[in-house]
Amino acid sequence: MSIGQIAIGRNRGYRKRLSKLGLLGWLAVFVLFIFGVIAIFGSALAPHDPNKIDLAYSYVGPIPGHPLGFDELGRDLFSRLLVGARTSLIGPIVLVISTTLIGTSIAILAAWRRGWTDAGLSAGVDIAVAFPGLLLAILLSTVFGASLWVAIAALTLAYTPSLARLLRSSALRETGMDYVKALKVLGFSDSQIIFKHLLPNLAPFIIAQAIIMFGYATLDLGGLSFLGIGVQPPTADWGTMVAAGASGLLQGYPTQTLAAGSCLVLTALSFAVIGDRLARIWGVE
Amino acid sequence: MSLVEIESFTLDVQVVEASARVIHEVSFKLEAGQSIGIVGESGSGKSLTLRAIAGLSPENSVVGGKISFQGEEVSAMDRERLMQYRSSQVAMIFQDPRSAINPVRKVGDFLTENVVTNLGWSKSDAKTKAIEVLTEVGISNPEKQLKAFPSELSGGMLQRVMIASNLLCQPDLLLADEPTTALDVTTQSSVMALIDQLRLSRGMAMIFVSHNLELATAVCDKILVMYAGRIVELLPAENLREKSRHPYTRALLDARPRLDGRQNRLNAIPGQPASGLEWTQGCTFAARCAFAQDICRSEVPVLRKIQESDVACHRADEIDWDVS
Amino acid sequence: MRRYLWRRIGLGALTIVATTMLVHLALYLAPGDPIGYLLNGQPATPERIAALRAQYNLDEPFFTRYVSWITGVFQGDLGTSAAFNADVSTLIASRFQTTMYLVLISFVFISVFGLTLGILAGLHKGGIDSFSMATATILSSIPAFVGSFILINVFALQLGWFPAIGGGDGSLSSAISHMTLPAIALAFSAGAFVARTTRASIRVESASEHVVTATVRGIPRNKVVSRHIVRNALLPVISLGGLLFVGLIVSTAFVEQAFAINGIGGLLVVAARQQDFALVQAITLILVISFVVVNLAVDVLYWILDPRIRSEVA
Repeated sequence: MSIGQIAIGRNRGYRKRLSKLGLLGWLAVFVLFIFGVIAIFGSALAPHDPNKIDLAYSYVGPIPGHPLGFDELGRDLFSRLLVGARTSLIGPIVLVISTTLIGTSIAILAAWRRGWTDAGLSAGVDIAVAFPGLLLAILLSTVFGASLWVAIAALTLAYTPSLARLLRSSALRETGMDYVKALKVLGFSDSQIIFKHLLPNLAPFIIAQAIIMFGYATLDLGGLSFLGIGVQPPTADWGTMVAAGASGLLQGYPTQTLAAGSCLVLTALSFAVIGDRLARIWGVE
Repeated sequence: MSLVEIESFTLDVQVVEASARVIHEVSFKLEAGQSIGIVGESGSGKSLTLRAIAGLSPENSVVGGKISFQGEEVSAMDRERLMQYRSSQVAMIFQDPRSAINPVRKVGDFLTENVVTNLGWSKSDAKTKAIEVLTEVGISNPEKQLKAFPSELSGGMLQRVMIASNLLCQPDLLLADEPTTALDVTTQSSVMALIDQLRLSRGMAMIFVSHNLELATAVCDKILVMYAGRIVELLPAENLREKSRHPYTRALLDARPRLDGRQNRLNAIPGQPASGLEWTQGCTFAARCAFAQDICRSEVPVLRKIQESDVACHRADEIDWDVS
Repeated sequence: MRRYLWRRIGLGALTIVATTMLVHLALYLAPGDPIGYLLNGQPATPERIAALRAQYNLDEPFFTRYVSWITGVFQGDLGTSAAFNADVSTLIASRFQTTMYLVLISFVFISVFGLTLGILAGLHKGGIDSFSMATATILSSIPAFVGSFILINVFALQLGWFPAIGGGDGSLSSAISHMTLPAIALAFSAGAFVARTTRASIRVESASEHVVTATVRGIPRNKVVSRHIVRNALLPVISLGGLLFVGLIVSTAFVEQAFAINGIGGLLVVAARQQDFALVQAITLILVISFVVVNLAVDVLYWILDPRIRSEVA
């Protein structure tokens, strides 16, 4: 067996033990699966036009065919909730992917090059910590105007340093291992070692981090939409629905706010549970 | 009645889902005022044995056999009795005083905590006594040191504070867990001399755990050699150099650098030290032993008396050690 | 002590300068002509343009502009808000107290609740631990803007224990009754974070050798816990204070919107939505300053509570 095979062999185990997710873990997977299906097929599944306004039905409670009733403008809440899944989940997906790509690249670069690259990263992280993501989002939307994309850019900027810092230390541990030295001696190129050995070995950690981040991302983007500096109305979105339902809630019609809020909480909770379990199973807590 | 009597002490540690025996059938006695040195490599179970005497065992472990203090079984003590036993009858000195003393409390708090909390001394009495014992262990300006924090003292000074704290409650038994290993070479001998002198002047018994044979021989009446969770030899300290019989003990003696210059090369024991966790048939040392025969690999040797020593070796009486 | 403190103050001043410069620089990032951006939809009269050019020193190089802004800040002049057409310092001053009440009450909830949960979970393994950590996970998944409405619905509308909206009339008693629910909503995720950190810290401390020493000296368990485990384990938790504080002030935006409270966080969001640069810049400055001040306070507290730092510096 060559050294390459030994190194690759190290990351084989982590797919097998997924069965240890537990009842709660699988329940969370199920919830996310349902939400995923809704996000993809939401507009086809929606029984009514989510944007059709009929003031005659303002705040009317559940009636046959309209299981959640209507919002202040008489729009069908259930349809809006289904259609809103897509905007509420697509933002976090883009955010998680961009953060993971940038964060992983920076971390590996820092761990591989060390020296100045590494020192620069650490300094950047220290400054970034003083800036909460929300503040960054507020600053950027002041300058560029409020939109979902500005919110995603701001949160990417806010999330990346801490992810890079976390990954950097694992990457450093990995690059310090003998197999990396052995592969270098054997004449493998840097990119071969990074893509064929280093990244696969870091994968469990990166995936667990990305899943945990997904939960935060859903809540943070939902929050920005709630504040009016994320998804812009009238697009159906869980965050904007929480805000839109506020006046109804005060008048005794809490359905819109609580239903949209529950979807956000359930999504975040599911990601938290799965991320937690995976981190424990893979031993990358 | 002996001060400490240990009979068939075993310790099983829960590892993941299986249980593993790390200490096998350890038995010995210690009389009042006597000192015994437990010697072995890391993982031999010497510290675990020592801590068990104070009623401490690691989490997820099961203790078997009997450990008694003045005829009273330690594991049978209720909470209150155990606390009383620990606060006034045994005392313990740890390897690294820097981690064994709470870094955020003053030296004075550390010294007097036990006597004030458990023995009901008044704070002023405790302070007066604390100054006395600090002086006794050779700390100058004790009043000032009481107000200092551990981080302001050197390692040697801190170990003296540790020793002083144990003098306040006048214990019958001192448990010393490698008390000089973490110190500078220059302070090691003075701290060891201090322990020895205070122990003798107060008639305390001592169990001294060390990997340093020379040191153990110097301050102990008996030497107990442990390997992989078992006692392999127990003998009077003065016999160690010339009359020890177990190949492991001999190897340990041989692995020491000698000061008389008769030997140029430092002999290391071949192979890796085994821990009690490793399961083997027969004698655990057989894999590293130059004298191992078939019987050594199939049957566990038991301790048997040969002259003044207890030795657990099938071939102890056959091998003729040439001690010149 | 003095040298340590001066170094920390210097570092804090540097943070303030660096971050405000970055914020100032952000004006250049705005798409298009800065005047068009700063006009913010107002009619482009020559007087208005001239006033803006003077206010932001647009004809000067960056550094001069920054210096003149900072000098203005020191003289209490934070500029004029385009959205509210009012003096920025007046806008902020009237809301500052409200937000401070909110954050401080929330801090009490976070400490009491986070520490209790964390200490319990850290000291007990098994059921209590799992229960506490499950609670923490659930709470950290309830964002302030959802938690607010759950609380309003249950405790204000259905049970009627607290007023549903508003910030009170400024007196302490009305502040407490109006701020309790928003403060709890704000405390959910931060409290869960404190609970997790405390638990980890307690675990580390429980396993330390000085705890074995105390046990082997016969110190009763409750005293070992209070004097040696909890006392030591709280030190790293305290250092979170500075980080939490700024996050809390910014997050008041959520609860202030939900509970219709007139505070800094809400003002910041309105300013962002209206692209009111002067107002956002001023509030950011205040946030960074409070971050630095709170961190300084934490450093001093650390100096008092952890003797290791003192001998390290000496």
